[in-house]
Amino acid sequence: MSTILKTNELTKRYSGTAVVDDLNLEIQKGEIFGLLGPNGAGKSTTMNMICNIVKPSFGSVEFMGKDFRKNRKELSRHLGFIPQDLAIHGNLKAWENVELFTSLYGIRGAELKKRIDESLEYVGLSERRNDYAKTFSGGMKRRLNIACAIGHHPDLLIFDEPTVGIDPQSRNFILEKIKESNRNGATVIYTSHYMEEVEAICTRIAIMDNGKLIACGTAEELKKLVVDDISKVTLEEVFLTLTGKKLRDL
Amino acid sequence: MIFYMIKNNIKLMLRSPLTILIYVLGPTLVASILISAFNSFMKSYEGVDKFKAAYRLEEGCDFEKSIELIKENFEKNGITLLEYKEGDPEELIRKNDLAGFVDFSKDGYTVYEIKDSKLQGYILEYSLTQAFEEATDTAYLSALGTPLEGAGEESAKIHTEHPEFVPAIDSADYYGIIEIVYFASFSIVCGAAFLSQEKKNRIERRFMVSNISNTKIYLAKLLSVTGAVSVGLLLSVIILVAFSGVKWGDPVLSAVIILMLIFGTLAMELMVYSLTDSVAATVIITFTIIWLMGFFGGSFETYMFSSHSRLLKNLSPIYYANRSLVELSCMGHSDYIVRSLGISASMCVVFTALTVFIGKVRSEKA
Repeated sequence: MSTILKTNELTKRYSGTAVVDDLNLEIQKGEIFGLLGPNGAGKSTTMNMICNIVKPSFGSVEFMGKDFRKNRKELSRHLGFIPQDLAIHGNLKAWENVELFTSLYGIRGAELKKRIDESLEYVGLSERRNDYAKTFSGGMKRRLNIACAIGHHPDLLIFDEPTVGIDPQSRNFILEKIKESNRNGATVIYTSHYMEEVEAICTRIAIMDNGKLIACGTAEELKKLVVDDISKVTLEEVFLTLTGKKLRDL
Repeated sequence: MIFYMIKNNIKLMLRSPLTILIYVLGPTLVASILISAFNSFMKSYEGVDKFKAAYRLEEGCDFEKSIELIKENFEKNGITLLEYKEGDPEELIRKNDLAGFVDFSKDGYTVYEIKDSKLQGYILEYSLTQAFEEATDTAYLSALGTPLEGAGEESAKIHTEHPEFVPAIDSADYYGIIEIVYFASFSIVCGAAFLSQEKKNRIERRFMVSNISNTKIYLAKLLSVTGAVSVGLLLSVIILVAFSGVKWGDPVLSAVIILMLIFGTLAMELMVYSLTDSVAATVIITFTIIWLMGFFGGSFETYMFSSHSRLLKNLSPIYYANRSLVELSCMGHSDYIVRSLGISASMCVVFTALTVFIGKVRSEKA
């Protein structure tokens, strides 16, 4: 497998405090890479730096073998970002939302129409295409949020906690779609607080705490860091052992 | 890609009831109220009939040669000009029931007007300008070899100024036009409908990930708000034309003037937004600026009796649009059109450059 994304000493400081500190990650093409960490660990800042939303204080992001910041124009179309907060317009219909965000990648005309249909079909919203997004349930909005990020057929999909606050059916649907996207060739970076989700879908998992990478490997490899018999421990126990039980958002 | 952004931005604005309310009903209601309030008042301007004024000539001044021509022109405008060689002008006005007094001297002339006959004063000033323009032209012709009696070469040296002359206009035309101009200048309110949505839903993250340029995002905002405001104002204009009989002298040229004003003022408003990064702060700041521009530019005054200084008027871009549109309506032409278009275009270029620059600095720092 070849490397699709690499972070080199990636660092972000706010007022002198390092939120992400010297982060070195390497994500292989075709994998589902899970990024775990307690609140304030630096996961979202890392995602934002990877997606060019936040400028790193130091270090770089290498995407498809090139410096991402220096080659944004060329590489942006290969990236799809599904933000944690819904980035959709409530006063636009489902298809209009997908049209707006897919068109940002230069897709137009008949091809754009085709992509809109595909994206809505993919997230199961074809029948609600003419409804305003504001009339959707939480789960439907999450699905629309995904549809808005996949219309341009990106090679790398970044999901930032896509299953927060939705019912088990919607969560299951989204997880299945992530796996399907991966089967269709997309590489996925997935952050979540739900350990069972991460364990179920991710091929490799990284755990961050206080802006630093503290462990990285398959679920089994991470479990072995804590106990020898991996059947006796869950990923959540590994996570709590590595990051501690102290509350982070006091 | 900008086309789809413009299209969807316009949809977002037109789906907001606030937009409809402000841009269709706003100018219609405000203009209707002002039209009916000032209807009889403005008719009085047209009702000025013949009146008397006086003059005094300093011995040996240039005006001696052309005074008969001036008097002749004044008569055409319904002004009887009487000569008084002695006496204080103010006292003469009072005692002889005169509408004004012109004191011609070697250095120029001074016009004495009275508050109670302000309209007559305007007409007097206008007639003087007309008369001197004619006298100057005659003198030039004379210098070119076609001498005319009463106009020597010296007359060519007469310095003429253009005093503030306000042509007569119907209240429906005046308020029907200037309220459209005022609402056109405050188009960010229309844009607030989707700008606040963008902000609330943090849509800019999708723009940043897609790497669409700041210039394209800016242009999509500028063009979409202009489009939506134009639709709203067009409906408002149609209502005002249909129900109040507002006359636009040259509809095409008037539309261009308004469109350019929207571009110019909106560019300024979008620059304020790029600086504050807050829709609420932008609306408050730009409302203050536009209100002041409108106040000094004639949006709220009673037209003929302007109480604002010439300097403040000149500083207001709205003034030039108001003046050119009003003159187009009542005279069919205006000297202010080029200035209005020029100022709006300059505003658009300068503020667009500033906004793009601010956006660039912001994205570098992010």
